[in-house]
Amino acid sequence: MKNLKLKSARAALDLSQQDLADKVGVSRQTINAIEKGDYNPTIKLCIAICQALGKTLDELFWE
Amino acid sequence: MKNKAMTVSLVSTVIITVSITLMTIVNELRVNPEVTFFGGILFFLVGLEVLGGAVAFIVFSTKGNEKQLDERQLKVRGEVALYTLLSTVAVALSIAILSTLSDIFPLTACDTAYIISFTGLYTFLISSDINDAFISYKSKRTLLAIIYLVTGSICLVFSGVLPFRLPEYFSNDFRLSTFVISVLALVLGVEIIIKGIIEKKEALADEES
Repeated sequence: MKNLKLKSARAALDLSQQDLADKVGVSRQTINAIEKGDYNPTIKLCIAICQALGKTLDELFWE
Repeated sequence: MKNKAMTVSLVSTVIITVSITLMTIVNELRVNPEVTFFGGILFFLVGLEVLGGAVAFIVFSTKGNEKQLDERQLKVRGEVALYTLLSTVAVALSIAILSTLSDIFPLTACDTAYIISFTGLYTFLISSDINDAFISYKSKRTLLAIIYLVTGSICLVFSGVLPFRLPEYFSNDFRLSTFVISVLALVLGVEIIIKGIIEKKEALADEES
């Protein structure tokens, strides 16, 4: 299932996938895979993404 | 757990490759009186050298890159090892079945060793690049693609499959192992180009959206 919340939160901050990837220390392909729903990130990575985007876990990863 | 599965897959691949190579050499010694015992040992050493080179390449090129890989890349390494194992087993079994079915087996022990080893090695490189695991070509992709395409083209010429003759000091006989290696190298070169194009398109689409 696509994670559109993550994509819109990233776009709201005018960040590209590469920018977000650099902020959380992963590859662009990993961010792309999370947004497309191809990869389920660990809680550690979810928290890092939330901190980078200034959102809570609920806002980005809760259905 | 993933790392354990990966290690088991890689070790199994090496064991199977060595076993099949040894079995083929023994078969070659049995049916071909021209191959001496020392010739057989030489075949084995060549096979071992190719295999050792491949393993050394994999070990040294992936050594210490755990820190550079993120959690998804570490996770998919098991899949890459599995694909390598499956492709090696499939090729080894196909050769074994073909040699059992046909009275005159066209491949020498050396050919068999090359085909099995290089199939495993190139499957590892291709699936590794596709999944961004182990070896992920992050930069100089065009250069790498050119290197593999040139290598593949040279091997294709020397395999004797093309309809022109090489200078007299080269053999013009068809060599299946060289042909297989050329195809694998060409496939890797094309894969690097295609993946590069897809990556660029994805990045561009992301920038535009």
